[in-house]
Amino acid sequence: MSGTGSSASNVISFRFQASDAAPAAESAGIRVGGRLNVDRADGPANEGVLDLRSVLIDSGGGRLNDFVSLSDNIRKRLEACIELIDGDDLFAADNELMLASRECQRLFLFRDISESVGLVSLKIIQAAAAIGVTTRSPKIIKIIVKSLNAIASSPYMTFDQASLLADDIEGAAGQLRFAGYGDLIGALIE
Amino acid sequence: MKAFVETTVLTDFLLKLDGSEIRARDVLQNYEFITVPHFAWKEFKRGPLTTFIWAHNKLAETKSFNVTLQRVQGMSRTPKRYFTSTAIQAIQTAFSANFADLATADVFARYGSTNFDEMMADACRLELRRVISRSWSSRFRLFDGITDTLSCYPDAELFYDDGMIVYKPYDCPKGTDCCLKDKLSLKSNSLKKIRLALGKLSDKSEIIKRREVVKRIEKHPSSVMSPSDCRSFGDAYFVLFCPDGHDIITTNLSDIKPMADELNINVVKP
Repeated sequence: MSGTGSSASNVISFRFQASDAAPAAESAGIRVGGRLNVDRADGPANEGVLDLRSVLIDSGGGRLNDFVSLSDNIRKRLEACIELIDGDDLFAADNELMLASRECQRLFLFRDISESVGLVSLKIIQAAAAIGVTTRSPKIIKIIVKSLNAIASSPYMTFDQASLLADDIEGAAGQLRFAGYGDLIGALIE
Repeated sequence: MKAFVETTVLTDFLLKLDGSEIRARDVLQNYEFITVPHFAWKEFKRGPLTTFIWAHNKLAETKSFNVTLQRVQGMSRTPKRYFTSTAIQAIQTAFSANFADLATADVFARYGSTNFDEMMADACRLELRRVISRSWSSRFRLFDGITDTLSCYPDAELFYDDGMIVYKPYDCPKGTDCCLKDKLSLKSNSLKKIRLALGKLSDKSEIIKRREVVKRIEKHPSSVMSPSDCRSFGDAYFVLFCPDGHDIITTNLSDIKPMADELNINVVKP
């Protein structure tokens, strides 16, 4: 990972280019304390890995904070759902799932953060919608929780990494397609 | 059993969603050795992958699923009417059902208005980007990897630039003398059989061009074989370069089987 840094008072400005080093950085468990200003002027080109839940982000607008917060809320609901399933409290479990599924839809409103957020959010929404009976789908719920953790921790993961997450989700939930996509494909390949 | 995969089956396997991808997978599971020549990947990139990339970039440009569908319809060679206004409305209604919770005052107040047409464009585009990236990057590890590498073809990765997928170079450079020519010059007997088989087929322009290229290489092996000639040569590649003991796996029986029959090569359609 390469980067430049400067500090003024208690604010650290850090610009990073970490796409090649992302796996190493992630396994090293990067943690940054204090306030961190992330310069994202280059936007998605500066894809990197940073555990955003251990820092305070001041990047103007707070959308990243909102996304992480929403992801955490959904994750907590789904973890509660799993606990309720394990406790055989099935109606309560399904209730948590319904509420979580509704919240999942909002994830896609944050797709402007990165292409990876867009893709993983889309797959989470599709997977949540594909769950029929809660009690038969703990595997899908667990993979959604795992994916939420991953994308909230690393919203700037590479698109290839996001695609692997999408593969994991579809591995649990089956192939996920939404209305219109199949029609489009059919028209493209005549 | 050994399979030699032609471009139509590669396309079905990697891109289709209408059941043909399942048929392709099922038939290939019968084979112990599966060969995908570099030539098939070249045709794949120039053909269906280019179409997918175009759709991705069009969705990025228009930010509208509705408008993009109209552009697709405009580009269609056949007068199919996939997308009447009623059909498009039905698709959009079904899509927006996935985001029913977003059509509330609470969401509007917090996130601003939700444009479902734009959301649908983004959803399609992300799915396309994933499929495009995965299919092209799989060429070195799908089955037994690329075989019969074409030395004259500039194989290159795709890259993503400012929201669009860039996939240059599109084809072999102008002025290239095809690397297949030297090998073809050693197959004069097979070329003659292919030429005679092509002579019995229909007079569609694709067949006429193929026959002309085959005839020129057969009679004048030292003449230049341009990238354009290589494209016209097309289906004949899979017959002339099919390894011994392999079945050609293709959905294009009408063009390939007559040539394959002349060389006693088995053709299998999924």
